[in-house]
Amino acid sequence: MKILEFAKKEKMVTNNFPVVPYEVTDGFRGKPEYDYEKCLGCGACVTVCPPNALSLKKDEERGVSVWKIDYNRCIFCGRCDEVCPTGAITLSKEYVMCVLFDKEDLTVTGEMKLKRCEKCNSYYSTERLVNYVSDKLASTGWDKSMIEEKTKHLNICPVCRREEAIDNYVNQMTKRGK
Amino acid sequence: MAPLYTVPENIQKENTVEKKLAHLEKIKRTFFVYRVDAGSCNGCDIEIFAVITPLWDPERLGFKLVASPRHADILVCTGSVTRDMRYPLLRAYEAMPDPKIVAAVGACGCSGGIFHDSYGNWGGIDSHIPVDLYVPGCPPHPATILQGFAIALGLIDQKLKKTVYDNDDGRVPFDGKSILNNILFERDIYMESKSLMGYIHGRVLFKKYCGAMQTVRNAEDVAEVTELIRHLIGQEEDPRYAECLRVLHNNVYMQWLDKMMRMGDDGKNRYLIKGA
Repeated sequence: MKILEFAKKEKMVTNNFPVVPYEVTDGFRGKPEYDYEKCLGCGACVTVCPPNALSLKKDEERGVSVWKIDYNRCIFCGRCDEVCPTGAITLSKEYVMCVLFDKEDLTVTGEMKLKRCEKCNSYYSTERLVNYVSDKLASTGWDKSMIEEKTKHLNICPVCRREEAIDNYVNQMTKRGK
Repeated sequence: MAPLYTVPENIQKENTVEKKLAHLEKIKRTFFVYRVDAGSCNGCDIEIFAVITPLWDPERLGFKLVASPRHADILVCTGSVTRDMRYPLLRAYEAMPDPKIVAAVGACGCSGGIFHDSYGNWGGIDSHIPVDLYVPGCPPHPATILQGFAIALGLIDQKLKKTVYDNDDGRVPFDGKSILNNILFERDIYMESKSLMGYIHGRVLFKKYCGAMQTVRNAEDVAEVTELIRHLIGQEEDPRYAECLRVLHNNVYMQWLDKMMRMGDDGKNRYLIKGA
């Protein structure tokens, strides 16, 4: 009987969960939300993801770079949130994410157009990333000549860039030798 | 790598989706849940026991944990399947009365999780027995597990659907505005605040500092900025933010101004904010 008296004094502790949503505390690591509009396709999140829940694959036939998150494997550590340069992926407070039958319902895919190298015509990076870098360089407040020098190699792939750098170096050395 | 297990035909015949849904409509009693630990780290098991406490109380929805798979309607499996627990898992699965509902709880149960490429791991639950309900999380929140049960019974609908974005226009929104007309200043402030306070609080600090700096008419006016940051530090309730705002002003902003205007040591020292 004492227990009943005690129970009368105290309120009911049970959460009325499926009817009333449960409120999580600040700093809760919930489902990582993907904002496609902001994603560059740089792959920083893919390299840091400990369980390889994130993947970035080049689809050369269609000319797109396919970014994919698989919540089945995600451990909600927040490393992707930490490294994302534009805030395209952030941990939310969402905890409602069970699915029936189909595992693929727990995936989010974003496709970004790839950019071709101006010299060898092979795919090397996403259009978004190249445009973002040139935008950033333009707003650094440097001299025009300096920005031109930096953006000169932006539209060619790393292989061609390396070849061009070697050519430049050789040209300089031969000039100096003369 | 994992040896194949094909579900026997008589079990397959009794476990189609139609039969499961028909069973769901017919049933007029509590759902009995049996839990199998197929080699988990115990995180998910602890969360399942958190679910059956009075705080969440799944029995008001009609779930009861039972001790034998012969009584169970729902088989809750946690953990990625290990060699030793694979056979008990299959035995529990076959011992259940038809139709069987199988739930995979946790990242490991759904797909192998963080151990997916480990030598001792034989994949998620669904690479051995057919799974109906996936509850992701590492470990899943009690609310997630309870919601999963409710979804399995059709009390609520599932929220997530497979999403594919493919309307790329080749650009991301970019705001080239800068306080000192050079976004490298913002970069320095951001990196310094991240290294001072980590990425979560560092972003708050960055927003505080830049939000205040945007209200200044001329950000190159040292006296005005110093006065503003002093005022901001005085108003700040959290001493950690106050100290870090001071460090940002002294280390980053003053260095930038020194670079731009060549103030010299005497000119610089006048505007440094001293710590408490």
